[in-house]
Amino acid sequence: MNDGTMLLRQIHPAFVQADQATSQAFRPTPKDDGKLSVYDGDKITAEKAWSHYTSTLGYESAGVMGLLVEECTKANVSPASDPAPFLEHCVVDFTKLTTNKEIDNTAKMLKRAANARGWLHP
Amino acid sequence: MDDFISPKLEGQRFAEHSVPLDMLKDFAALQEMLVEVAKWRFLADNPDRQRTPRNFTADFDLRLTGIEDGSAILKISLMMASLFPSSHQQYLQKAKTDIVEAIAAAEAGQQPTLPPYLLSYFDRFGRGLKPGESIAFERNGGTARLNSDIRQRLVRYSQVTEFTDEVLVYARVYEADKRNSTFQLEILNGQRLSGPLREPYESVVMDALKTYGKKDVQVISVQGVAKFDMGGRLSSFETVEHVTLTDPLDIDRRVAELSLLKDGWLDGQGSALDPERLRLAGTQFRTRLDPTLPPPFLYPTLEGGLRAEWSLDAAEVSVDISLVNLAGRYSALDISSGESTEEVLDLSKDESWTTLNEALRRLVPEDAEGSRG
Repeated sequence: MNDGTMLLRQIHPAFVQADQATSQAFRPTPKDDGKLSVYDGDKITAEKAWSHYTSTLGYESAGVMGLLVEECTKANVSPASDPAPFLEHCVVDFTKLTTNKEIDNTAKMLKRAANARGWLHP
Repeated sequence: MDDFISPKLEGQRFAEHSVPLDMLKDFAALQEMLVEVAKWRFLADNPDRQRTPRNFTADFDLRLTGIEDGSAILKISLMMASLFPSSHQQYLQKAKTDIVEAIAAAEAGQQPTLPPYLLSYFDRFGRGLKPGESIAFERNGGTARLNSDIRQRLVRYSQVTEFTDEVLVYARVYEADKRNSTFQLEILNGQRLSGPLREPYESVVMDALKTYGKKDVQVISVQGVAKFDMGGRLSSFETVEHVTLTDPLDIDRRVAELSLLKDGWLDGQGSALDPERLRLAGTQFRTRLDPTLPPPFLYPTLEGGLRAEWSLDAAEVSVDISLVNLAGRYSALDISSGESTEEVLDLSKDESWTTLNEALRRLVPEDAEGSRG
C-alpha cells in the first residue's frame, strides 16, 4: 500500500441520493471500533470487491467508491492493512480523532473526494 | 328549497370555511347513496311493492347552498320539482338518518343496519379525506364522525373484497401496452401493479419506460384512485389523474423512499425513521427552506433521524435532525481552511429556518446566487 493506492469503500443504498453518497458512508459506525472498513485496491478490483461484499459476506451495497491513501492522510486518518477478516481487508483508523466534530469533518473531506471521483463500480 | 343536511368538515384544509373542490366528488357520491338508501327504505316499508314508483327520486337535487363558519360547515339544500310527492320526501329524510346512523354504528364497532351493498358507497363517500380530517354529522344524542379509519371499517362491513382510495405513489415504469391502454409500475417497495394509460400523460410514461433497468432510471409520481384488497395492499390503479416526472432531489419522493427503511436497515444496525414525523420534517424543508437555494440531499441516520447535506463549492454543510422534536445541529466545513462552524437549531421554529437560510445563502457561490433569482 502506498499514497497512490485506491481504497475501495462499499456504499449502502440508503446512503445514496442522486448518485451522491453521504459523508456518513465515510465514517465508522459504533460497531466498527473507530475503524472504517475498506478493500485494498492494489489487491482486488472494485467489481470483485463488490461481489465479495454482497455475495460472500451477504451485505447490501449500491456500489463502490474510492479513496486514495493520500486523501485519507490529508484528512487526518491513517489507512492500514488488516487481513484478519480476509486478505484484501484494510481499515482507515479514526481512533486518533477524539471529538464528533473532528470525525464529522474528516468524513466530509473523504466524501467530497469520493463523490468527485465517482463510482468505481458499477 | 329546504335545508337538508349540514356536515361539518374538520381538518387543516377546511380552515377559514373553505372547501377544496376535490371534496365535492365525495358529496356527489353521498347524493347517489341517499337515493339508493331511500329506495331501499321505501321497499322495506312497503313489502308488498316489488319496485319503487317511477321517478321516485328523479325530481330532486341536492345543492351546495353555502359554507358556514366553523372549520367548514356545508349547507346542503334539497331542491324538488313541484310534482315531487311529499310522501316520498320522508324517505330521503330517513335515508339521511340511516347513513348517519351507519357511521355512528361503525364508530361504536357495530355492524350497521344498512345492507352491505349500500355500505359499499362509502368506498367513494369519504375517500377524499386525508389523515386527521373528518366529516361530522349531528344526530340525536351527539355527533357521528366519518374519517378514513371509520370509512375503511364501513367498507369492510360492506363485504366487498376490495376498496379504493386516493393515493400518490412513486414508481418506475417497466412495461406499457398502448393497444390495451395499460402500463405497469414498480413502486418503491418493489411491488408491481398496473394502471390505465391515457393520452394526457402517455409521453411521460413512455419516456420513463425507456430508462427502466438503467442507472439513470426515471421515477414518476402517479396520483389517482387505486384499488386495495381488504388487507390494505395496493393492487392496481382504477383511474390516474396526474403523472409527473420527479427530480432525484424531490423532497416528498425522498421522504417516501426513507419511510420504507426498517429497523436494522444498515446491515443489522440503524433504526427505522418514524414515517409520520419524517413526513412532517419533509414538509418543513419543502415549505421553509428558501426555494432559490440548492435543494438538500437527505439521508437517514443510524439513530432514526434525518441528515440534510449540501456539497457547495466552498463548504460541506450538514444538518442532523432529530425527528422526535426537529432539534437540529448545523455544521459547515470550510474546504479551504478546514475550519468548521456549528449551530444548534430548532427546526420547529421560524427563527431557526431564517438562520439556516441565511447561513446557506452566505455559502452559495456568487454565480449560483445570480441564478437564485
